[in-house]
Amino acid sequence: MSRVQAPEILSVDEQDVAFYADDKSLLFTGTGKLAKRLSNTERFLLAFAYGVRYGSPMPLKKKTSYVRMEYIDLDTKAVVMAAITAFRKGDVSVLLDQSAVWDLAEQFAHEGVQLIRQQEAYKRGAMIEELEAFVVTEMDNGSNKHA
Amino acid sequence: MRIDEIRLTGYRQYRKAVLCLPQGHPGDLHIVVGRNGLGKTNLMNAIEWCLYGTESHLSGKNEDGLLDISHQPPRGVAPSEKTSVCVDVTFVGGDGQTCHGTFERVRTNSAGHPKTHFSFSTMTTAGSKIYADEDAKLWVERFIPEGMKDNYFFDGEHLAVFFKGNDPGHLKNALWKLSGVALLGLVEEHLGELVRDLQKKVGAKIPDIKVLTDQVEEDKDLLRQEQLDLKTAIKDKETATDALEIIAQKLRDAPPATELKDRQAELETKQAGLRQRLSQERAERNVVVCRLFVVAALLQDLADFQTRLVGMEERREIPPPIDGSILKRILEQDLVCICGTKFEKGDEHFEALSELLERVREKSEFQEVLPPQLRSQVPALLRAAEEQKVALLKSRQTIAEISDQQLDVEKQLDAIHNTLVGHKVQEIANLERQRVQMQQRLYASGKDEDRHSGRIGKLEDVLADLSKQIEAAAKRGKETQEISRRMGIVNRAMDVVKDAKGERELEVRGAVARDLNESFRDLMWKKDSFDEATLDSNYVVHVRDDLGHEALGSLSTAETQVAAIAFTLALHRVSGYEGPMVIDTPFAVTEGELRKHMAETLASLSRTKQVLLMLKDTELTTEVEPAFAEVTASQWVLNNGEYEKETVIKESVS
Repeated sequence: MSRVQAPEILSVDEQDVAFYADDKSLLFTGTGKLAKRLSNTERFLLAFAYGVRYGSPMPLKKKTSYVRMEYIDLDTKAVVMAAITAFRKGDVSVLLDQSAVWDLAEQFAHEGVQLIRQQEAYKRGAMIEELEAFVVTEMDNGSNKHA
Repeated sequence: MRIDEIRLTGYRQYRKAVLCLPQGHPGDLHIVVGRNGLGKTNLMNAIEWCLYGTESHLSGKNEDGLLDISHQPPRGVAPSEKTSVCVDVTFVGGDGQTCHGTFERVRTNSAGHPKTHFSFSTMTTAGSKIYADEDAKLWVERFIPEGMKDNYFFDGEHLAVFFKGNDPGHLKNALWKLSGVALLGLVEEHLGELVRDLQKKVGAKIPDIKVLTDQVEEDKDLLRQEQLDLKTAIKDKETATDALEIIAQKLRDAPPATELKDRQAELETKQAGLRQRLSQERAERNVVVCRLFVVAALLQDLADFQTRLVGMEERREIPPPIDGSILKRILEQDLVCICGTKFEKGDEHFEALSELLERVREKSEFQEVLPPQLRSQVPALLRAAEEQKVALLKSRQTIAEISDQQLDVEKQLDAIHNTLVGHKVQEIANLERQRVQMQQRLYASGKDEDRHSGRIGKLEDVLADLSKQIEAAAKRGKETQEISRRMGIVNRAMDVVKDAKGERELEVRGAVARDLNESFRDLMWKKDSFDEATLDSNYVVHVRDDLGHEALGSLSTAETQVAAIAFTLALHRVSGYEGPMVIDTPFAVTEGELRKHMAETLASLSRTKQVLLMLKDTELTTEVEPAFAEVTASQWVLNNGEYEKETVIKESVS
């Protein structure tokens, strides 16, 4: 099996562009000088993580270039690699096909956007509190587990 | 009444002279003869000056003219200082006893300040008495009143033109003065003034007491109403004052709304700040949550991935990267050297070795996919997540604190809001409104009080004034009645005076007319030529000839003089002032037969009246002397004296 290179630019689905650009979205709170916003990569990663956690890969209907791979930081890469490896039942060799890896990442992110939109519409502001509670719980569990 | 003596001291030419005029019999004619310039006229003027303080020929000059002659003494005689002028004129009554007195006018000039003294001294059987100035003048009026003097002292030439112009006003005035008609006229005039004055007083409108009383009642009603209104205003003012005091007390007790509002504003500011901080904190928290969510969601995957990578490394499943050209050289060259045999494709050993080498190469590709940095990134990511978790917890705490603060502020704001919108605020607002209303009421009642007080004051003044008017009207009513009564008396008196004046005038005019005719006929020598001399109702003298024609204008000089003397005599008799007749140069304008007739007339006149004639020496002619021979009581001659410009009087012995 020969190694396949990662794409130069990551894509998102065309209908997800508005979600990524919406600074007023619940998850990207803050306005004016006090605005604390996630970077494009972080937004992509959040959607990806949400998709991985609560969904399954969803193929993109129409790809739209979103962020160049050269701007993807090591954190993002590590997270994506770990998640895809886990998704492939621990088969690390899957990572050798970087194209497939990032294609899957794009699909999970697409799924994540859909799920977040649904939750936002459904929870109406309580979503962040749920996320927070989840984070704290998971981090506590993780700390205990990995201590 | 006649002149008994004349004494002159320092008067004009007369340094010191005495002229005695004793009553003669059968005639009382006195003659003074002198040349022109010796002082005949001044002798007559001296009498006038003594009695009246004036000289007819000095009209327009002041009395200083009397001092213009200085009598220089002859050589060898020391000059005496001329310090005074004095003229004494002694009058006697008809009997020489009933009235006898001397008028004396003395003029002194001391240090340039002329001073005149006039006196009258009586010498009767009762004794002597001296009257000065005004009192002395009253005595003059008893002898020859000043208004009549022109009818006693004549210039002969004046007699000749006595009727020239025949001025009835002059005759009328003279007659009225002499007869008392003028006095009655004066009384009538005064009475008329008195009547007019009384009419003015009566004519002034007297206010109707009934109208005034009605006005008083009306004003009293108004006053009562104003007093009631004033009481109401004062009560209203007191009520408003009390209410204001109560409101002020309540407002003092009420919570200060302004402080609450200030506190509210302060809390609202704080609340806004907290809201902003909370928003900021939440935004930060959200970002952290989002970042942590990635780690938390994939925590297990990351841990597994880390473990797996560590295992692979330990098992050396991640060899260093191998270049494909090296494997190709091994297969194609190195194996031949080692084995000494060239392997071809399809050879069993070659294929096995190629597969082995390929697997080694594939393994080495992990080094590209999972470089050491990436492999070490997972633990770093987990550590960073732990740190962010701490920050998240801190952020949660901060958010909780801010929320608590917000709650606290909200509670305070609610409390303030409740206070502000509560009943006390409403009460304060009501009190403020009431205070404004009460202040307005206080102001209005104060104004009412002032207005009513002012009106009451004015009404009281008006009532006092009306009361005075009523009192005055009542008094005026009585006064008017009294004045009307007096006016009736005065009117009756005026009627009496008018009647008396009319009667006296008629009587006097008639008497003068009769006496004039009688004297004229008695004195006139042409008794057949003239029918009568009359005085008409307009006081115009008429002389009618035997044919009844007016002849006054055609009379000769002597005849005119006779008519004038006749008229004057009539005036003397009617007036009762039987004074002397002094004539200066009576024959100056007549001569010959006429002079003779004139002399005879004067001689005849001297039989009933004192006659003093001043004659030029040229007048005492043969036509005159025979007529005067029998009736002349004394005759005097004027001559130059010893002193320069001095005239001396000497009695002539005929």
